[in-house]
Amino acid sequence: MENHPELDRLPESLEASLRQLGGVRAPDELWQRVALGISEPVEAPEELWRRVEPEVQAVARPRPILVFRRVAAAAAVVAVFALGFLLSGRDKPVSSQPAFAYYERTELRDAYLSRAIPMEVQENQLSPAARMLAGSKGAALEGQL
Amino acid sequence: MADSDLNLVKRCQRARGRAFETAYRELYDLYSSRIYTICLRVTGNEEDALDAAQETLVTLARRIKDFAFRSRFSSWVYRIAVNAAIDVRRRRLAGQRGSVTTVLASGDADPLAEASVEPERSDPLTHLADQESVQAVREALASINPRFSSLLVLRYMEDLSYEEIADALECSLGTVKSRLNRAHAALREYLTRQGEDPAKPG
Repeated sequence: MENHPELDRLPESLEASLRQLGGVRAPDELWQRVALGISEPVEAPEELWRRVEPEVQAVARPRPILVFRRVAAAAAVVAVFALGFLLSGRDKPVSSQPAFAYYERTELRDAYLSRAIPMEVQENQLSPAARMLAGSKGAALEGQL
Repeated sequence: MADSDLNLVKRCQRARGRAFETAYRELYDLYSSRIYTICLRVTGNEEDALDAAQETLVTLARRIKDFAFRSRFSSWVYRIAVNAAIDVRRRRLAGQRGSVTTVLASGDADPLAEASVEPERSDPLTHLADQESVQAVREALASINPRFSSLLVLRYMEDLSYEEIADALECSLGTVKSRLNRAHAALREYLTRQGEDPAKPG
């Protein structure tokens, strides 16, 4: 026969205290957690992707409204610069731009021309900046100056 | 375990999908509070108890098909619950090294060794009022070695016989008695220390 050690008994009051700690009711939250844990993962039907795919593709494509906004913003920037450029010289007195005044006012042009010594130059004698400046002010190029 | 309970276990083993959830819910209603009590008393707080009870019940659901009726089903459930509660408490204590509550739990290299322990014969606890005593015991369970706590819970709260405890913990009857002696000693020692601590309120 097996010889078991004698069991040391606890005082009755202590045993009673231990027993009082039993019988706790499990909170409802426990089942919610367990139910989540035991529910088997269900394979999604093929149809699900067919339904989702168009939306995914739509998200992947740039939205037209966004494209329009970008174009509109770029156009606005260009317009502002162009307007600014055009307005920058509009209100300035002609006398402040003697080099070009002859072109905008005929009498001044004649006066300047009477004093100036016209000189014909070849296009290739002008720097690129000078060529652009002359062209923007109506100078004839390619032998027309 | 009643025949109806055994049938319920078999239903859980056979069922699939929604039928399994329905059958398992019935099993849950039978065991959840017992499992939660073990977890609460071993871990010492509701948050850890919920974690441990959840772990127990999910493990039970996943492995119920493996149960071969070679032991009591309830013993199998208790075993899973005790192990889950001890694991959760150890994980918690691992993050609180050096705290007062770990002292008794970590003081022994092998707290469940078969070495005899001289039981505390004096009883400084008899002067405690009932509620104070219950509160002190609750704290003690959460502080002593969790294997001792679980043994005390199975014995005094679940009212298991020594044989049932031996079945649940897969050890001999002699080992159960020996460990229970050590659990008693640890409980007394903790309560005595707490009673002597002048810093302790009350």
